[in-house]
Amino acid sequence: MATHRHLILLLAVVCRFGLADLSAQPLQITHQVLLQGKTVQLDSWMSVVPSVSVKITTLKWYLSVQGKTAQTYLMDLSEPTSLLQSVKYPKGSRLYFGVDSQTQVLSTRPGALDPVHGMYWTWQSGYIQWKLEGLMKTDTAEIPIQLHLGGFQNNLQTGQILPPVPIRDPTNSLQITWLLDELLRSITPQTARVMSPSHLAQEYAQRIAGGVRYGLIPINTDPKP
Amino acid sequence: MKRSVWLFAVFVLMGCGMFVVQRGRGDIRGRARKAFITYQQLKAEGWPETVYLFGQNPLSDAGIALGRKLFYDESLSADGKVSCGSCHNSYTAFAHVDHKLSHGVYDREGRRNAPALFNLAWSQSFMWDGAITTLDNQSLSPIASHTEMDLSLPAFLERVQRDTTYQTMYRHAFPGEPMSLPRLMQAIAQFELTFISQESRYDSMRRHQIAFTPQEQKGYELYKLYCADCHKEPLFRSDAFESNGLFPNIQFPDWGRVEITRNPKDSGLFRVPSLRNVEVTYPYMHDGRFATLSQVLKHYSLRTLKIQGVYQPKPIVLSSNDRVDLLAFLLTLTDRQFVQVKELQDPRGFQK
Repeated sequence: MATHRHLILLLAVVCRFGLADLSAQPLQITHQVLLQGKTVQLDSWMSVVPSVSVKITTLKWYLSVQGKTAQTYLMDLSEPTSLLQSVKYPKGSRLYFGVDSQTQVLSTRPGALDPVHGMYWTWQSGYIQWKLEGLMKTDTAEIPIQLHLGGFQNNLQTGQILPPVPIRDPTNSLQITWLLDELLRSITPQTARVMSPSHLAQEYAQRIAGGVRYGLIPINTDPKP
Repeated sequence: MKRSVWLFAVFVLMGCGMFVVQRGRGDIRGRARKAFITYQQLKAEGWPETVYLFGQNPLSDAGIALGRKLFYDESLSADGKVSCGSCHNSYTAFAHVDHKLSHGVYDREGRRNAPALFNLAWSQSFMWDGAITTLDNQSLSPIASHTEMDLSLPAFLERVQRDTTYQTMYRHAFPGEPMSLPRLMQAIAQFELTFISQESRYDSMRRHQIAFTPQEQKGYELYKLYCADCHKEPLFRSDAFESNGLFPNIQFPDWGRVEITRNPKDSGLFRVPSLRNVEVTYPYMHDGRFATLSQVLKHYSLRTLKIQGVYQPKPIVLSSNDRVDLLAFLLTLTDRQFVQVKELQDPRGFQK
């Protein structure tokens, strides 16, 4: 009788902790940034449309997982390791472009939210959700681009809820592709510099979120020596 | 017997655990405890609930000491000459009295009058336009500002990290944590949270320890009639942004709150500062345009300027006697004790 009780207890423990509950497993995320179907390389000229090309020198942005608590990650194109994450993704979570407004009003914290990363506006409270700097060249001119997109209050929110993550299994990781085509096509010499919360920053943020695509790629579980 | 041994062991372990928690939080016998008690007393006296989230950054003596050193350290600026204390002088309730506008590294001039600093735990936002939403993040602004300290945040962190005194102080303030910018900012906030001004003549009257003179009392009644809507007791400030009828400064165009909200309705609005210690926090207004309280009262009694699209409050009609009485009341808001507290002054000056 006692043995049966132990077996039932053991089964309960296995059911609770042992069976594959996808939502309890970390979600592997990889990021790629594409323009005209090509991977964006920093400090390289890339074509936007036939007569316009860009050279991106800095690209950093935030992604959050919104669940019961928010986790925030900073991607930096100059640091390839930042483009790979293992995130907690409990059931019911959503991916969010940027830092949510609740986190924005709190004190800064060490880690991804440390202002030392240059993603915090010091002249006012708030994180820059997306920092893109570089040059845009047309047939007639070369103009600097500075998109410091942020804002979380007074109807100038730039954070965007991203589409639901596709159904996954433990053998797949999520690949998030950030398509820059629409964003970069919309930039003109007059709108190439955004340094504070504004409706234009909001529009750009919507274009960035609209350019997000998901894919599932197999996790390499048998690494080669 | 066996059971009592177990119980004894459990109590010993619990005791050790509590000791570790206390040690981990740092010592709270000195300034931190005094501040904690003061906050409790003020709450009991009917002051409003504090806004600051103390749970995120509990005060400790070591944290306050670290914040004090950072606050007065000029080496943490681009030219090594400007600290927080350069524009926020303890003797003048942490205001800046020798210039209309604060000036920073290489004598660069800012565009606003450095505000006085005290009773910050009750503020929902900071700066004249409310740009900053938490005290913990406020110090980032002057450090990085081109016209103030002009030091990049990584450079600031690096300078603190390589200083052995700071290393030791940080270990005491935040045991077991690697040095980080957010924690350093919290240390400055801890020091600033000890700027509690609550020992003015007005406070003594409120506690029934003294009575106002007839002139002060009349001034108090005038204050309640004309000023109290914006400058609310007992803090004599509010978190609102208001227009007080100032004509825009043509030399330094500054439209205040609208620069943060981008809402045209907020054009020309500025934070309502505290009237506490107003005697020692001259010059007045966001651009320091008035040097004396008499000039301020004259402005309020004459303001009739119409600015396009900006709400203009009505003039406050005061006789010359009224003005003197109101001034007499405003002087009761000076906290002489606060501006002389040695623990709030530059520690190097104190050692001298």
